[in-house]
Amino acid sequence: MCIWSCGPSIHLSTIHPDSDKEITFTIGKGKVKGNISEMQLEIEGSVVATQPGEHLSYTGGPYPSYSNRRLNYKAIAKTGSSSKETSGWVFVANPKNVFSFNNANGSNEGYPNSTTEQTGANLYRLDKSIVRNTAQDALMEYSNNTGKHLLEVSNIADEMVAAVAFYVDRHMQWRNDSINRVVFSENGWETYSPGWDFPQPADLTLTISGNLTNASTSDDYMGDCEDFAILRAALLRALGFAPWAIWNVIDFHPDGLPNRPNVRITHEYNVVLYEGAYRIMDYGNITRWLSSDNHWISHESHYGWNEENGPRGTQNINHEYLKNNTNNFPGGKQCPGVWSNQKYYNDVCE
Amino acid sequence: MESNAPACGATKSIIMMYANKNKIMKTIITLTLIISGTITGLFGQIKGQETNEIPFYQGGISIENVSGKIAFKSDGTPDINLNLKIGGKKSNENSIGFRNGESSGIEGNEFNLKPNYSVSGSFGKTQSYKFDITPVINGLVPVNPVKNTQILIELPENFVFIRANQSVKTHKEGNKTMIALNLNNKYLTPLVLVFNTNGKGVSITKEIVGNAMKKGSVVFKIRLTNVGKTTLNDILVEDNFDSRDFQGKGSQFENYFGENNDMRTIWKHKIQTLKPGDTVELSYEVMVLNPVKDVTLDSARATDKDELIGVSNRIKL
Repeated sequence: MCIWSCGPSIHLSTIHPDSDKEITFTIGKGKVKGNISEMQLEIEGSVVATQPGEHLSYTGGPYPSYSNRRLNYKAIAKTGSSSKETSGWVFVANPKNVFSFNNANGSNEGYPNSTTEQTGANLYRLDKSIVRNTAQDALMEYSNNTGKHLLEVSNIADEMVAAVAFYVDRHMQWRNDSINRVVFSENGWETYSPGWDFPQPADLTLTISGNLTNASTSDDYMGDCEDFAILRAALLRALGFAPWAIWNVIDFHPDGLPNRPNVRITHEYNVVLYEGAYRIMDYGNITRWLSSDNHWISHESHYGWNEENGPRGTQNINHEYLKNNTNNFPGGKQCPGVWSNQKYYNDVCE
Repeated sequence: MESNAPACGATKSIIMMYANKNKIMKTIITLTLIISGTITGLFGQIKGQETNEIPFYQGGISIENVSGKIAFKSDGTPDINLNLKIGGKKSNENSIGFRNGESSGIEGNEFNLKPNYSVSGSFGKTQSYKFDITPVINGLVPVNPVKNTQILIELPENFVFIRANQSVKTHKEGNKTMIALNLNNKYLTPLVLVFNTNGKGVSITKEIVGNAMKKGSVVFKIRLTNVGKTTLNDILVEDNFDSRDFQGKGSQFENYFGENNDMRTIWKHKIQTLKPGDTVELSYEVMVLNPVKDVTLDSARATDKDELIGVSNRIKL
């Protein structure tokens, strides 16, 4: 994370700051020759800190006014009559406060009635109050669990992500699609026929998937992998998380699984902006999938869809969406090398 | 530098495709998809809705206490008697109540109000009640937690408690089952209660023996007690886990592969007979394939001819 030049060294506590995070800049001698009388730090053209000697440490921010654009900085080492400089920039990601959404337009009361209608708008159903209320519940229960104040949780992007992962893990359990179809049919949605893979719209997961009418459900919400992923994405979107920062992702194995050559797709989960980078969000807490130590073969991310890209499904274009948009930090700084699903791990792509 | 704009990425791929004449047809198809996607996007923007952020009440009133009783009658209907007590300083508040439930004006400091609730299942079998006990002031959830919550739920004779979605304590008062929700300085969210209304029910505890953080074997112990009044026959006990985390071998395990995706391993066991008050302990061994942490395992459950009669705790790893 150090940027070297003939000027002073400068180290940032994070090179992927969110707009709600502080940044600590640490300036050292670097490659400057001779005695340094004074160090300065400039942010966006203004000197924000001056310190005699060879070292300077400064914590600034958060920088919400630089949301989703570059924050430029410069370290200046003064040596007698001259000075040496090192400059750089970080991208200040801000996925919050995007509350606009597209109307659901599926031909079954807004719900998808075919595979091509499996869009973010038709499956997240941000127009439904149950989705908004449950998103609020997720924040409150996460606050109860962590002891953090609700305002803190609701104003920090990473906390919102952690809250949604926590809530879905706490209230939802797995059930296969054959039974999911029956439960929908027995609870007023016999007309629900969404096409490929029976994805459950978020509002119906919240209202009927846990029903006991002609079913023996064991938790508040039930579904299989894509239903978990759709619900997580919908709750985050209801909290104002930007569409570009939350994705539904499907794996792909061109030669099939080692012991099942005909199986090319095994899972659906989320890729989400967390701690300034795109990370995997799946069953469990957000912390579960940050490291490559916990790599599943099912996390060979390939297809991606969200409200702005899709529809859901496994067309090649969906692969382009994912690799073009989540590689791996917003705003231009990338891991070296071509895109791969390994970049979603913080030990591979810091 | 990569752009976050999807159209840019897509356009780049089109240009690359044009370089290969053999892929012209593919390009046309791709282009069609992109154009139709753009049109959809434009329509979406035209038809788009705007919502406000989800706001919280940040005024001077605090919710001091939510207390009272929900007593289920023998016909399965709830008799609700809940009180909200407020403190602090009033200013521009005009209503207090439960989210989507009853509300009132702000005169006084104590309010007897009913929350909204929904029910599923059918009387005579297993039923689920969901009470939205989230208090609201001026229609907004307060930003501060409720200082004290004491809600008692009473189930009549022949009703058997199965599960709640929050941490509750149960005890018996004569033939009645009492369920207590006691909280300090916690936000209130919907309370789900599941119980059987025909006297059938088992309590189930699930326990893990071994370390799921290390590769190797672990044992799950499932303990069932018939807490109802009826002898149960042919109880089906099921548990399930992700087959990417654990692997089970033997006739009690069944590997499920989804219609299109997803995978799971399901463990099943049948108990021939369990008399009221009797307990049976079951166990199964699985191999840990990957270190498992930061996840809540699914609960084990019991059914009697497809009717839910018991749900275990969930293990948080």
